[in-house]
Amino acid sequence: MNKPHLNPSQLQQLLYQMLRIRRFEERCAELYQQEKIRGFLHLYNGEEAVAVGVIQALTPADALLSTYREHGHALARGVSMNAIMAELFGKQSGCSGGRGGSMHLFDVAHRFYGGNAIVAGGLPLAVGLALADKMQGRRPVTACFFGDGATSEGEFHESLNLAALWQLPILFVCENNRYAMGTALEYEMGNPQLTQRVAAYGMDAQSVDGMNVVAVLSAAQLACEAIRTGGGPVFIECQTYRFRGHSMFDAQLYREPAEIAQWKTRCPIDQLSQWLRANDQLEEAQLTALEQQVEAEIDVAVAFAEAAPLEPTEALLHHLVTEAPHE
Amino acid sequence: MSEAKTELTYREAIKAALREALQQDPRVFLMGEDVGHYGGCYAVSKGLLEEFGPERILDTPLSESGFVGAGIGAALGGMRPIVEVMTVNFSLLALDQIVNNAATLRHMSGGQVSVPLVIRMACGAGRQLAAQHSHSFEGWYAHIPGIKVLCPATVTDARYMLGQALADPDPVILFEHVMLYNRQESVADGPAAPMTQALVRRPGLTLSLFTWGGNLPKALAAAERLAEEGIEVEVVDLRCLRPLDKPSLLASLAKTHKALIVDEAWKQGGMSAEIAAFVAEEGFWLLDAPLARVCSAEVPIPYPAHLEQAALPSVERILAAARSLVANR
Amino acid sequence: MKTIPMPSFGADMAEGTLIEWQVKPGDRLSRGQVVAVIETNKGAIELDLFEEGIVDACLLGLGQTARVGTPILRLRDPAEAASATPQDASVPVSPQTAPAGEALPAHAEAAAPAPGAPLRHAGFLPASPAARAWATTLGLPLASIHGSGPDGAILLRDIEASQAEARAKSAERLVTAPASGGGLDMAAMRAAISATVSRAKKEIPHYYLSLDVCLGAVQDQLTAGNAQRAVEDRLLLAAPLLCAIARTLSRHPELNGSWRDDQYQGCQEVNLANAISLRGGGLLMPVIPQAQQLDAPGMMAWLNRLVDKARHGNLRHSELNGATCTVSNLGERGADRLLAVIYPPQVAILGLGRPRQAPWVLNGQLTVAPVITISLSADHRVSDGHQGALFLHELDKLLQQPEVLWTPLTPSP
Repeated sequence: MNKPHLNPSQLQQLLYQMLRIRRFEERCAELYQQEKIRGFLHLYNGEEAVAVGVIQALTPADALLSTYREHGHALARGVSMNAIMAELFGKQSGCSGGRGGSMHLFDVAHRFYGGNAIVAGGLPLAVGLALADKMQGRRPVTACFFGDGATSEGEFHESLNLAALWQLPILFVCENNRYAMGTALEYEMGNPQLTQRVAAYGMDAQSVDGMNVVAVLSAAQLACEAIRTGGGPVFIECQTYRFRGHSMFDAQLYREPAEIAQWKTRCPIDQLSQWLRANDQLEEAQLTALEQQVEAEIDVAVAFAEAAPLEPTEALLHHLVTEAPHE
Repeated sequence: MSEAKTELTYREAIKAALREALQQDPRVFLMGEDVGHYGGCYAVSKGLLEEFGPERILDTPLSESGFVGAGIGAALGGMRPIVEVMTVNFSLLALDQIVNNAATLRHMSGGQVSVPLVIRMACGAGRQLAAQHSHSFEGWYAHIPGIKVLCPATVTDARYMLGQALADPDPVILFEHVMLYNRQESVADGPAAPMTQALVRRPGLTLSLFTWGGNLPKALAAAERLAEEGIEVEVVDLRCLRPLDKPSLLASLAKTHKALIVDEAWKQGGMSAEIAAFVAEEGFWLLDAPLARVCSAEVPIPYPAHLEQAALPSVERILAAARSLVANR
Repeated sequence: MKTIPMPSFGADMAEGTLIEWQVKPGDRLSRGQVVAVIETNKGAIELDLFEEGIVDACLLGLGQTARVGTPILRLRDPAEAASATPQDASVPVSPQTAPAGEALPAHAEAAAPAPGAPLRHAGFLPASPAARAWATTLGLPLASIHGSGPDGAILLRDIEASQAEARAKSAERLVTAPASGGGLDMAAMRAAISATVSRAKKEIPHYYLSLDVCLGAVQDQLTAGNAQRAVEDRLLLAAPLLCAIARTLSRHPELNGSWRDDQYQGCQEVNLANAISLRGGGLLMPVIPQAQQLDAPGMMAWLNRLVDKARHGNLRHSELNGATCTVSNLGERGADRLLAVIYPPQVAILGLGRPRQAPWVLNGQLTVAPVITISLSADHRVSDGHQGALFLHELDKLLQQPEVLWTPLTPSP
């Protein structure tokens, strides 16, 4: 594999990004149990390397679409943590005005086109966004995240076919965490080799270790380069694992504690911090400082969300159709 | 000059509207199954590929959800897509994209995005296409907040509603009834009214007949015959099923105090039921007789011509319903 | 057994309408118990009884009206057995008070009720919603109207017929027995007028303005125009006057519109009601729709038609609704000045006095000219005196150039 050349500060930055997501998600779990956050809450613990690695390879002009497990993508993309937390609280200052909640984070300024809570529902949108870019002579990449469960949906196959047919600049990122909710890969696919299935559409498809942020970043960089130079869509499967249940209310009857423990030994954050310390690129004090920085940022976000106003009920029917003249 | 001069078929009118839209706005493109090389399943887009090229007339694979979703994405990305779904029956495969994305993105994003998308689809029965190709699901779509539902019933509306729909910053679905494509009428110089406004196609004082789309010609034919019996039917073409032009419905009811709804869909849970419920809620004190409905029989549309016709609203059934309503016995 | 009659709550009470029974057959009465609520021309009054006994039957249905003295309740002594026909507990309005039948035929498009099917509260008068609403507006008790609809339901046409009949009767009475008192229908109409003007005077802060207007130019134009017409086609003065009023109103939405639910909605088009007094007494206000578009001959045609229909009782419900302003015209035999009461929900009414020969100063010379006093009553919540005065002066100006009133206005595109 082509290893990117990363200096210690870049590596520390990757670590910080992953840590930030992990601690944010942990705080969300707490807040959920305190009933500050409601609805469905799908946490990203364990999968941080995927969002951080891929998004590190993108430019601000690139577009992103994600799933209902998208806090990590939004944070890695630079969507304000305050606005995300306020959204989870259902507040007007949230990044979707409070209307979306955990599964529907939007920030058009960052070209973040949403958490989509229909499995594979975002893929056709990615096709369209990329088509619009191509038609208008622009060359950004549209990065589209989805899980392994999505690959069984018709919309996945329709979208891959369209993207390959029209040679669209799309980076399809499959976060293969081995379970479609509670159904293991072997119970959902005749051929669990995702790259084989995708290759059939005439598209470059590769699989990487999704627990290794450097490997993910490396694959994403290469893919984006190929896409930007007109090579058409690329599919990357990131083999990863979620450490928590599918959502907050999940007894996890479908997998063994030993399996979870086994995967936790490959925690992307631990792997990177251990490697950095083994190579004298990170000191204990630095790590502590990073942790403190992250905690402080989250404290601010929670305080912001607590204090943020609720949208008045009189505004209930807003945001349905365009109310004012549109650009 | 408001005198109409040009005679066009409904099909030609839509094509003229498509050409005009493609000429006027480089962001507009047409996408769908067989819209290019084939010329459109109903020949609406015939010749447009040659005129505008494959960049703007995109043949798609048979992937309704995929390309309708791509239309939504392209609208997000700054284009003004016109997506043709060959018939409303196939649009069921794209329901996810229409209902879960087109209708919701603006709302879920707190107003950050618009979806300026136009979806066209053929609908309706009458050509012996049997149970899977004869649906009238415009009422289903009218159920969904966040999309507008237009049913052009005249050639003038066919000519101008597409442009009005494209000018709207939100998703609009246009239903083209298959029995209208060959109708030839004179076309006015401009739109008859804003696209969401109902129009009185024939004034009358005896009873209000509410209908839209493919039933309008039947309604007008029935009204003509009823006039000979002294029953003056006011035919109101709803034109837009969401938002519903409620003031126009009530205004007509205030004149006639009787309502007959003609809908090619089934009664139960349909658009006719919605209109009836609205009249009962907001027009109750105007009613001088129970509401009446002429809808399709509660059965999948059968193939044989005589059974198909028996299932659908017909001039005869409208006549009977109107007479019974007026007799009030 | 004994019966309780419709009580007289006062010397001027002729009849009462039952609006509520507070007892039902089988109830044992105690002294002083309220048994019913009776609507009278003075409002709803509770009927309390000081009899003892058991209610055997309620003889008057809800909404039904009975003259004073008519039995409305039958009581029996606690020792007596129940009446043989308990199902006759309330007087059925129609013979069909059977329990609900099966559902309607699946394909019934006109949804006509199946015979004998309706489930109905005893005493309920079947009437269409529109008929009910219209009867309430007119102050007509439903029980006074014969229903011709399905299962005896009262429809709009029945109310129209009942009014026409009442007018015919009253006209007849005037001819045959002018001294006789007003019958039920005239009383109802009087009641409706009374309710309306009372409400108007209570709710609407009226202000009044009058202006004397010289009719010389209008009369010259009338004479010239009528010279070319057959006698029966000649125009009356009212035609150009109404025409001018309608056109001027169309530029004054603050006087032309409706006040509903504390909100005012002004109108561009003028649906002008013209108060017509009936020969038998009473008043009807048929509406001339889009009156601002008419010329004087067109207005005359409308007036002829409406007066004829009003006097023959042929006006339809729709022809009496939707006015945005009203003109009341006393005509030749009236008084000089008419300050009229606004008809809610409208916000203005014009009173036309008697046209008369009067001293008039023209170019500094005292002359005698035909003059009419036009009075405006307007709603101070919507307009003020300044706007009202502007209106009257614009109207005056138009009447000094009457030739334009003979030219139809084309509706703006």
